[in-house]
Amino acid sequence: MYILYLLMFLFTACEREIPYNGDYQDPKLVIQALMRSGEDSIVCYVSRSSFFLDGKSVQSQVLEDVTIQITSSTRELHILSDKLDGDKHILQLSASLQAGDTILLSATHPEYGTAVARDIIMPEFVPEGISVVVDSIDSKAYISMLLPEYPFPKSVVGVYVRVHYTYTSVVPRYNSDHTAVNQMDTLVHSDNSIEFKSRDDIFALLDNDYDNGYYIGRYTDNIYRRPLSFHTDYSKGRKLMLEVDVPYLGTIERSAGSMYSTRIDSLRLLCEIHGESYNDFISSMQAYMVKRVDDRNDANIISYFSERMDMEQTTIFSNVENGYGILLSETANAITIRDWILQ
Amino acid sequence: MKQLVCLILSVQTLIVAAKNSTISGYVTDSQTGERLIGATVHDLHSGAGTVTNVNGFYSLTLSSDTVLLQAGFVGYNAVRTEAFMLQGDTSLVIALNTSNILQEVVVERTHSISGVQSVQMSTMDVPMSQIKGIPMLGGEVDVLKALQLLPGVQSGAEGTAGLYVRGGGPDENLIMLDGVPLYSVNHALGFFSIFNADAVKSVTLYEGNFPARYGGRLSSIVDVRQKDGDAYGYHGSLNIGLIATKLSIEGPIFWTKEDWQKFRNKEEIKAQTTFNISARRTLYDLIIPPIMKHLSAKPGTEKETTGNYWFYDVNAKLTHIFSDNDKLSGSFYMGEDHVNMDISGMQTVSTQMGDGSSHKESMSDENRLQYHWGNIFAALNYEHRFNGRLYGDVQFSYTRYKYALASTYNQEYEKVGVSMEWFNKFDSYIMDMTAQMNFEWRPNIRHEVHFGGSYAYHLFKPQIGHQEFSSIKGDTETYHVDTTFSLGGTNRMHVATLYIEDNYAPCSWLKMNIGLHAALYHTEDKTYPSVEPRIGVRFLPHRDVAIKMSYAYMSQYVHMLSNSSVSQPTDLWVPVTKDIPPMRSMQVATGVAYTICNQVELSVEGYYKKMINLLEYKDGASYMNGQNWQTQVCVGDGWSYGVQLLAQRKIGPVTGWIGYTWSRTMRQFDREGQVINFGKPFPAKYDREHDLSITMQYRIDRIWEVAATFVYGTGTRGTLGLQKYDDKLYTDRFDKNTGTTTVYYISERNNYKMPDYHRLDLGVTCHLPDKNHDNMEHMLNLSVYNAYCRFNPYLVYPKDGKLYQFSLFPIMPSLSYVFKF
Repeated sequence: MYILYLLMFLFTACEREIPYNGDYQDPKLVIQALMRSGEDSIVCYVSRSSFFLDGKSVQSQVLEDVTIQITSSTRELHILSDKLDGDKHILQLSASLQAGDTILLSATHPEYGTAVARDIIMPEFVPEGISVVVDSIDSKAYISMLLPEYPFPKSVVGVYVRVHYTYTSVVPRYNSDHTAVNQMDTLVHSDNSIEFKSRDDIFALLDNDYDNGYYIGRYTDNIYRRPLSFHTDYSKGRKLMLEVDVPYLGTIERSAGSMYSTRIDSLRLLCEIHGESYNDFISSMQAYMVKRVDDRNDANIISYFSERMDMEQTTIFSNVENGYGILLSETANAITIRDWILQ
Repeated sequence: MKQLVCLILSVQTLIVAAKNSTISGYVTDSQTGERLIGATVHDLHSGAGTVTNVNGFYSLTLSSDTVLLQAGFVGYNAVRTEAFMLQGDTSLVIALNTSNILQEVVVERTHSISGVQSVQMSTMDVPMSQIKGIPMLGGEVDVLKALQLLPGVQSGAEGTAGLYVRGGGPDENLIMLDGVPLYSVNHALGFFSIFNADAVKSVTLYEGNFPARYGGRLSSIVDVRQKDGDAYGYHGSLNIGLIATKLSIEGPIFWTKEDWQKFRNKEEIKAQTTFNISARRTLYDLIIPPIMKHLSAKPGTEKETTGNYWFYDVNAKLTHIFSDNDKLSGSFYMGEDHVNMDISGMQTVSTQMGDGSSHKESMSDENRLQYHWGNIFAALNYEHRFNGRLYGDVQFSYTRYKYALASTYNQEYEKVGVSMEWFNKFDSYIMDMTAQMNFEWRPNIRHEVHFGGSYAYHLFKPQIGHQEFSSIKGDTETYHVDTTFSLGGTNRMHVATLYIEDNYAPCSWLKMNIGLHAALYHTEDKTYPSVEPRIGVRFLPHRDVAIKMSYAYMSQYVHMLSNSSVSQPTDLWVPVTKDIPPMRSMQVATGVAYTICNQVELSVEGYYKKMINLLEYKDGASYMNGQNWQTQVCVGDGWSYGVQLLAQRKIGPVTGWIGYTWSRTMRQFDREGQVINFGKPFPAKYDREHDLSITMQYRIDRIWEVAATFVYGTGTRGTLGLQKYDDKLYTDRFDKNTGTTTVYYISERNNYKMPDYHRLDLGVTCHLPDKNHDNMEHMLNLSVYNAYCRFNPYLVYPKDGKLYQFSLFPIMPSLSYVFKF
């Protein structure tokens, strides 16, 4: 905050170390595990936390003598083997995980006690009748589909369809007087333009993913996102439509005659089912990660002001009892869509 | 049985109303003609009494034939009339002389109308003479900071003027200047309020038991009134201090040559028209730039940083008294803050060529940041006395608050003659136009009825952005793009209110204030009605002891979104919408008030307040991230409870008060889709369990005056992640580019209590009359803020495995000179 920076020159302000005057919390076990329907193994990280003023690196907190147990609420399930790689446990199970299973995962350490996490295995999500049309004038792609007809368990909080696309931009290079030296290829554009009258069944949760080897930008920052709640919205029907902002597919002429263009190379849908824990964890971590980027600035006094005065702190969701971390259940079904736009 | 007697008496009272007579008029300052607010007038024979209203008007309906009136006000000698026969309605103006405060005060053991005897509880009335004597930061007298020293009121961050009243946030206070509500009443991050103490006549704080005439905010009413101006002569003061220089002038305006001649001949003549102008400006812009430039210079670079900050404000009031029955006044305020910062430098950069080679060239850049924000308001008020029992006023007002944040970044490549400029601007704007009418009617000895209504048109433009980019080669603009966008839209709101309240005293030991405030908020095709009952009851088992109880239901149609306890110009005022409902509160309070020898007032009060539809930012939210503010907030509830103790002395050579509050304030956001802290209750940011303020002023003799203030408070709340661990899942799957993430696990919002806050302020003032002019005075004030240099925490944060605090103000002496004429 520049005002405070200015006032610092007017008043004599100071920074000083102070003793911690709150309660001390003992370290606890940290469980971070991911489960997927249909798989017969679980990747589980077990480490321990440390007090926030403990200067030691937490990466050194690899624990030995950790015992992990897994049980299922619906059937017999146990760990056949525990392959340890640092703090990463690859747990081979006696049976595949099935949708609807409530899994209890506990980790025990002689010094840090027992931490227990619980979550429900989510079912697969296979949409039907997918179609894609593009409005090249408005730079939008509309993806419609039908939700699966089988009922979802009550634990399902949201269905997320993430649109993963890659595209290539041709960017001119400058010579010493900032004029372009490379010309770009001419594209043929689609003339499709669709009007959608009914938006009652639509929700949009859009996200981008990154893929190596391509220049990629972010175009979905301002899309309002909300999970689909089957208890209320599913009764409206099975139709689901997504609106995706795509890069402008035309040609932009910039200064000194340089030309920019973009083309979409592929489009892929990642259809995921999330439970409440997953939803809470991801949203809290997303908020936390935004704030964390500010921490990367030099540790000067201004950054501390901007960190604390611009954004709210974030409470990280955890479904681990007597510990920290998260036990996540997800299903992901990737659908690749080809040949959808350009001739 | 007693109740039945009271009821019979009240019925008889109504029947015999026609036989009563009314004495009405004004209580004024004999030297300036200024009408006094809150002065007491009572009849020593019957014991009946009243206080003057915000226009200095009083009305006393009496049944007795013989009347012996006594009028009094803090800082003035009480005046007693001779006993006289009351024959019909009578008009009487009572002029009071300022008292010699060095004299030991002998106070008649009369029935004091204010304090104990008043039905009004949870109300603080601090005389301006006391406020001006309190030692303050930088020697700058501040009305709102003085209110922070009262029980039930807490400050936010160190040195700021925000008010947190009984668990409510700083936006839950209806702060009015001459009856006009204002937004963002702070300069410089809230270190100083916009109220120039030299222009203020009175300030009253209501923490509960809100009279029905007030509405629109949940937690408090701060009613600030400006002076009308001296009707007999010209006066003023010049104040040169560390923070600002102030000039105040007041005086009469004579419209005829004859009146001017009489005035020049030093004949006593009271003008019908008076004016009062006060202006204030900081001197920071003379000091800061060279200091910043010197301290920011880095050897080996051509980087230069300059900055500047300054504020000004102007208060003005023009009053014309047509007759004893009619008065017209116009009030005006304008004030602005400006912050400029400029960081410029030159560096050598490497530019990549089309053939893959690179060359070096000079690039100069400049980063300019400009903030400015401010208020402007204007009001026209007309008062009319219909008769001794009915008084009314009508007011039209205009208020506008605006801030703008602009940043410009410019790059210039010297060799190729190309420059590029990025410009961003962010505006927020609020405008109100209001019309209101208020009436007071005293039909008989038992009833005092207030009624009226208002209409207000509000225009909110909370988030307007403008961006531009241009590139220039030589003298030719080769590229330009600009866009203006609105994230919060434009909100128009209409607010209509009606109210009626009755101060009803069926008998001497029982008094009630029963009122109803009704409001209608209309915005975005949605209408929110609000019916708000207000009840206050006072029992008087003994004439010096009162037991009081109250209930108040309030609603609020605007919110201020702020991420911190520091008032920032970028705090966003937003209205209710079709999705964001009005906030509401219900408060009950009970207490006992006791007067010792009519000099010291003691009170103990307990309260409980429930608030609903409060707004808080979501976890990780910030409205500066380019999203509509409505998507960044959650709606939830809160509650607050506590006990307050106050011992106050307003008269005599030693004045001041001791105030203590024990309280808790909690929040809970557990509505579907609007969960904070996982739906669990958490302490509010300003949940400070203990709060103690002791302030004292002692006038030793005619020359010397000393003052001291001690404050102690439990530390404010902050959020710390107390445990940390390495994230494995999220970074690996969703955010590969960020590397290993250390997660500081925050189990609860506001889980950390900062170290306790306490400080001692001292002040000494020397009053020196001018040797050559009797009406002139020189005052030299030396004050020391934080006299024992306590490093109170402003921010607390972990760094490198240790905990650090940042403190803002160590010991801060200041010197100011005041010339009064």
